[in-house]
Amino acid sequence: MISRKYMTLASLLMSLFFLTGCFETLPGSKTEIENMQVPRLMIEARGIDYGGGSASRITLPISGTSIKLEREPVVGEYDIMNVEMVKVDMGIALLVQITDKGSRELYRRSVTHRGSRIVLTSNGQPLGAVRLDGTIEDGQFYTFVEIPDDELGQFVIDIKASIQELQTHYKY
Amino acid sequence: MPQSESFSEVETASEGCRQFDCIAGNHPHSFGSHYYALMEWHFKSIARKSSLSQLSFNPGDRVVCLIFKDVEAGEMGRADVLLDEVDTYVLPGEILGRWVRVVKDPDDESTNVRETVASAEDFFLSLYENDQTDGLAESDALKHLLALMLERKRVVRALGKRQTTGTQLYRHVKTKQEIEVPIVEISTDLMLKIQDTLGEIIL
Repeated sequence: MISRKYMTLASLLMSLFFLTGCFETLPGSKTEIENMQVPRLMIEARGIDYGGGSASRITLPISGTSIKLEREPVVGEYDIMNVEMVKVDMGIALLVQITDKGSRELYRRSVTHRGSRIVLTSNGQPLGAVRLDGTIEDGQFYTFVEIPDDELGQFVIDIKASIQELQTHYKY
Repeated sequence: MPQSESFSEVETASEGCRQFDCIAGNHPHSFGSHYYALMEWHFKSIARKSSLSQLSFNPGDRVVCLIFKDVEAGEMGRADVLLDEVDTYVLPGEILGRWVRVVKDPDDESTNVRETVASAEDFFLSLYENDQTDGLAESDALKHLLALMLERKRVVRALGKRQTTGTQLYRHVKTKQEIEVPIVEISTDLMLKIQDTLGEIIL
């Protein structure tokens, strides 16, 4: 009986060991980002939610817009290559540049989920939303974000550093 | 100034931001104006009785869902009939495609994703069975839409360079069959009609 307990404990420890091994830093990297920002593009869940539990509701911080999102991101942090501030007619926006794989998924969703909204999140917090009313073919996603102008510059610096860290020092 | 370090001008902003110019609805953008006229998806409830015999469906019945181009209404229509009625049912228009579903207990809200994918797959392949439907805008839109949904579920795989105009070649993973899918612009109105008609198999 006791040895069985030890066996269970040992197998749990082994599982933990292998799990931590799945997500490791590459050798020689000790960089730590002070304000890690993990960006993702999420999509509004359709009006039907079979069995529930496949969507979660978020609220944008300033406008208070409430959107029900699918749990899985359309474009995850490893498929976001860069984020830039861009000046457009109506103010300052963010341009999210996406890998080929992410671009294809964004294209697919821009066709199949026309009318739904894409939400940019960072560390799970919603920052801005765009309604899909045309196909996005070039992997360039533009959005306004609900961050005060005086904080936006630092946020972009943090997010760029985080993306670089994620893409160079971490692997699955 | 941190902003200047990561700031880049986009000269073609109004072109490049096409998708988000549109969501702005040409109103001045401010955080307070991040309101959207929430577009509700309308889902046709799953038919409870046969379009032919008007017999109520019972759990376990196999029902054939027929999608057709309604000649009189000029838009897509749908008929649900029992499997043994399908040969005697006269559609009020040209058939676009079909799939078969098994009626579940109405109290059972859960939907098996695998069955949904299988229905979508059946429907997608059936769109190619009737050559006469080739070229119909609705048929082409359905092929394009379903191919993208099924690509995400890895039922079909896009071959060659990813196209965003013209046609895209796909391989049906199970049968290795190569399928040419037209790429068409699907308007929001058409998407709503498709959602309304196909509700339960939209992935």
